[in-house]
Amino acid sequence: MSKPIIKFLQEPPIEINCQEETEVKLSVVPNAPGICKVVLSTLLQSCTFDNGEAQMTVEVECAEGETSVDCQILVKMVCAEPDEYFTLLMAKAINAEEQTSYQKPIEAIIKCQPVV
Amino acid sequence: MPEVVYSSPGNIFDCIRILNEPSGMKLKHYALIFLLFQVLLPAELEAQNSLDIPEVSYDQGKIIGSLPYGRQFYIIGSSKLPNNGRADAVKVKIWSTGRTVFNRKKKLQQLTGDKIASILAGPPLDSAVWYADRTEDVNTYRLYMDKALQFSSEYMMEFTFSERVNFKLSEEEKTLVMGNIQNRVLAVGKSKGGIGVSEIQSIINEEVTTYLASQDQYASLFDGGTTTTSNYGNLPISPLTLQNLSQAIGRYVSQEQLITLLGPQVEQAKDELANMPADSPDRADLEMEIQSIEKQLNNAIGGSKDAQEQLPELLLIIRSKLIETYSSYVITSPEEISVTELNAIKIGTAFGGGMVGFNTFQDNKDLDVFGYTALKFYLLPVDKRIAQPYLAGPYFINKLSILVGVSVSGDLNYHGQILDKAVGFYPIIGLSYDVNRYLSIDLGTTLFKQPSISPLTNDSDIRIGPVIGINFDGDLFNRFNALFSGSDYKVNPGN
Repeated sequence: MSKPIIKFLQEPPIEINCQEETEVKLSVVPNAPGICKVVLSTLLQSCTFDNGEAQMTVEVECAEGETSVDCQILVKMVCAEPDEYFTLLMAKAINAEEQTSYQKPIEAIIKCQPVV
Repeated sequence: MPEVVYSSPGNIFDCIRILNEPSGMKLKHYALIFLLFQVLLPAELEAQNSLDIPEVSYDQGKIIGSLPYGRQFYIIGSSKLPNNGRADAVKVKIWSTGRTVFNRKKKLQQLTGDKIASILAGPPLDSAVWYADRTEDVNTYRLYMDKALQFSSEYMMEFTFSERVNFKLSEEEKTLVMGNIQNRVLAVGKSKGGIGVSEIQSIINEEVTTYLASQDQYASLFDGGTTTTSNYGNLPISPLTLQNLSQAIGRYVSQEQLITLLGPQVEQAKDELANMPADSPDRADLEMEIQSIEKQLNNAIGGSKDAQEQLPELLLIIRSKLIETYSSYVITSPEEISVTELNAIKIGTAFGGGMVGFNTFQDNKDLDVFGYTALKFYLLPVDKRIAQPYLAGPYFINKLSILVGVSVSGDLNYHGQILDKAVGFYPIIGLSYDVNRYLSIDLGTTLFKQPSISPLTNDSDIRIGPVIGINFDGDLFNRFNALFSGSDYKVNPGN
């Protein structure tokens, strides 16, 4: 049973605008066929994903023999105060055999300015 | 033939004197008509060009008297502050409470706190700001309210006085304040996983205020309890500087978090590799993963160092802006509730001409025309200085008044018989309807004595005759009232 491997495919920092959905690109090596969960999380206390949580999970279908899967996750964030934050976005993968990858961070700028 | 000289508009008594003289009846008619237009037209023209703005005082947290209605107005008061300073700006906002007092049998109940809060939360009906001219030694503010209030309605007002207070910080003070700011922003950044631009601005404001409030010479400015607030939104630090600082702190905090996160991960991965069989197919993946994590860790260590070096440079920019700063010392008065009340005497003064309906044109070519002066007692509140003089009540009724007057000229005749004055004059009583603020149509009765047609007796009978007339309302009571109170009587038909 091997751990999955996850990495961001973008150059840091990722810019996330609260007014719109932002595409976050990741590559997952599942090391097991089946459903692989990709978990994105933020360390920022002032903001959450639009599900109201500090993390969001996306399921990726990994076929037998598939060595690497590229996935694009649409991210939208909500902040308590209209402001601009520099923070970390974390990603980890959990494969069909419940093995968890090491967490990978990427710098992110969350722009939650009020609409003028 | 008397000499007719009209020297100035509104020369009413000259005209009446002429009417009284025993000249021809035609002259009486023409003079009467001319009298009305001689006075009415210039008065109307004068009204169009006039502008009188009433003033109301706000003193000790109260409106003195009642709020004006139907016209723009000024609120005046003292700009002196409890700290012995003078306000640089005074702002007032007015809300309507939606309650009226006209014809209300019970007194208005006091508004509840919740109701007041909900009214204040809504948009104000009107607001005005006055800024002090520092080049002049003036302690009085004048707030020009450009919206007319409704008669007999309740309004709520909120006054805000603000004074700009300048502070100069020494180099030592700046070092102290900046040290506090740096510690706070880093602490918040670490605890929250980053810090926003507004949060940095708030921390700067709080730290500067806290420092100044701790100094004896400024402490009194911050003693106002809940009514006094201060802010440094005016601190000249550009949004770009704050943004850079926010990013630098965010980067520094992020790198620190990365180091905390990745350090144990590398150790854990290395342990796993050490325990992994030499021929395991996963070894290559794990080795690559360790390399990847180590690379990130090294980057984080370098990034943290860079961010830490960058911080003092950015804080230096803020420090340089602390050369001179100022705060707004703001006092918001408790809300004042006031009602617009009638500020006029509702008695009109009529000068008119009428005729008594005894004779027809067939009977007598001379109509029984006479001039009269009368008082008009309005049934409902009326203020003829404003655009809509008839303030309350149903249409038509609000323009009606009871007319009580006396004739000042003219003799009545009936089929050639001169009718005597009932009590030395012909009294008139009736109803008057205002066509506009100056002109009314009157319908009433007059008393007269009809001598006996028998030459053998001097007896006469008291009789009543119908009167129809037209009058000019000079609104003299309010004009005199304005004169005695030292203000001008002016009509604002345009409001």
